[in-house]
Amino acid sequence: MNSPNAVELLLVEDNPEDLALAIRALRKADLSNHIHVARDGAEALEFIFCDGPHANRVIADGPKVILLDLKLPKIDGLEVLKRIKADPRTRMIPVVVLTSSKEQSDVVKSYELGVNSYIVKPVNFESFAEAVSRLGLYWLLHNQPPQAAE
Amino acid sequence: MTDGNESRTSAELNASELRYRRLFETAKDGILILDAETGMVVDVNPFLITLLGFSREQFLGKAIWELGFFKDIAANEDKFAELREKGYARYEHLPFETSDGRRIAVEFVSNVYLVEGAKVIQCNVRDISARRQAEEALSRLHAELEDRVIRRTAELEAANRELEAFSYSVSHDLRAPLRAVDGFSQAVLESYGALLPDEGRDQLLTIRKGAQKMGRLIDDLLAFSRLGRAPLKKQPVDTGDLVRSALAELESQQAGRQIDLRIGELAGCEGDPALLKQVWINLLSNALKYTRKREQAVVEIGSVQTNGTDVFFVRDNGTGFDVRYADKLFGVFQRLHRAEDYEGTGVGLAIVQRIVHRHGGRVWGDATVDHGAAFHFTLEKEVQR
Repeated sequence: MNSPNAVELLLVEDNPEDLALAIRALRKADLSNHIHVARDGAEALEFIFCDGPHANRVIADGPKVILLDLKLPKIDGLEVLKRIKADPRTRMIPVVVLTSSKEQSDVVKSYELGVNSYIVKPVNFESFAEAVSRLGLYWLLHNQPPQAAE
Repeated sequence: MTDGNESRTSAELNASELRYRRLFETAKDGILILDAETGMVVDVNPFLITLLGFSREQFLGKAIWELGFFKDIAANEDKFAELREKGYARYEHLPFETSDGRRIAVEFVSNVYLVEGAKVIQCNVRDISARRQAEEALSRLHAELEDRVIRRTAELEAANRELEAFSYSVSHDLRAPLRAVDGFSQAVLESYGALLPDEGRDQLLTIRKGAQKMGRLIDDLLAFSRLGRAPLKKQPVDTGDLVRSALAELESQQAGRQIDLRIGELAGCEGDPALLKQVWINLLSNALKYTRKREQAVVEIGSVQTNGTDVFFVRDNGTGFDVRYADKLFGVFQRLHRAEDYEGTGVGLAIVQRIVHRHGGRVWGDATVDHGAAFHFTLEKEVQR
């Protein structure tokens, strides 16, 4: 898992401002190395499953954690989450849903689909930065991935 | 003796015959007498003649299946034989056609009995057209009503879906630009704060405060709109427990203060516990907020029975409000205090009112400026006395 191509964190976010703020928050928490950004659900799936422009990547190279917005162009976040959790090769990757929505239905659906964590992006930037860094740290540093069967 | 007896019997028979004849002639049902062997009409009463519009002559001497007023059913010799066999037949609803071609609905009952050794069939025909029409009109009205209910329900459901889509997009799309306003103001402060004069930094902080305030407004507005849509899950509720857990959630508003909490008698109630807890949290949070400037705050909580209805109340010795504006209290975003004196979005009491209304009760406020406020609510229709 420590190959130079390994991507630590996949950030799936379509909104450019939110994206810039998330990267800023991750950089503040020293988590900005090896980030890959996908701007819609289709791009995210191509990256995760090594399709299209990412055909020469291998699934084993990560990411270690996925920060996933729910409201995305082309394929929405819930569908991306569903496909990640339905595939045995990617099912173990922790997925943190990161969204503006406080709608109960989104929370319930995300948990039904096996999301590992769910945070609502607060308007307040400090709270946002804190939430991002706490989650990023937790999943990247403390959460030991299960040993791959290789 | 014998003669006398016979003549008395004959007189009695005559009288009896007359009585039954009169019944037959004046009955408000059609009556048809048939010879059970041949099915021929032996007698027909005036009511049936009028009802069907055939003359007495047209009836007499014809077999019942030849009369032609039975419509859409097989009135034939087989059916007739069956009737003769069973001795009784009853039809709730037969279509008949009158001589001038009108369709009428009749209830048809026939009995077989013996008259001097010969089998006779009596058919009673009751015109139920008016009743049928009324029934049909009723069921048509019913169907129309049902239709209208279905249409209205569909309209309501569509409106509800639209509202849900609306609040979904409000909660997603309206918050994103606010995050940008707040986040990038903070970014400027962090990266270039040192280059700015104090005034510039203050102004950026004001921008951030505005964005955060609007975030809270959106959240409260969404919470308020969600209240109208969520189903009401009513159950028996221990009001005392509810009040205690509401107070526990308001711990931070009580810390380090002198507060005399007087919890009196609290009647149980029937309602949605989660929503009712919100009512108590909002009312108690207001009481704690508006007594903040009192050295010794007093908050009384209880219920009294008025006209057979439990009235719950929260009373405080806080800053109160001007009762002239009491009608504004429960409006969304309506505030009777300045934001710099007492923070808030003006949604709390609107939420209280909506929940109370959904339970079928009412809520009202009373106050004297600088001497405290009292809020009362009921959770059921009050009995008018």
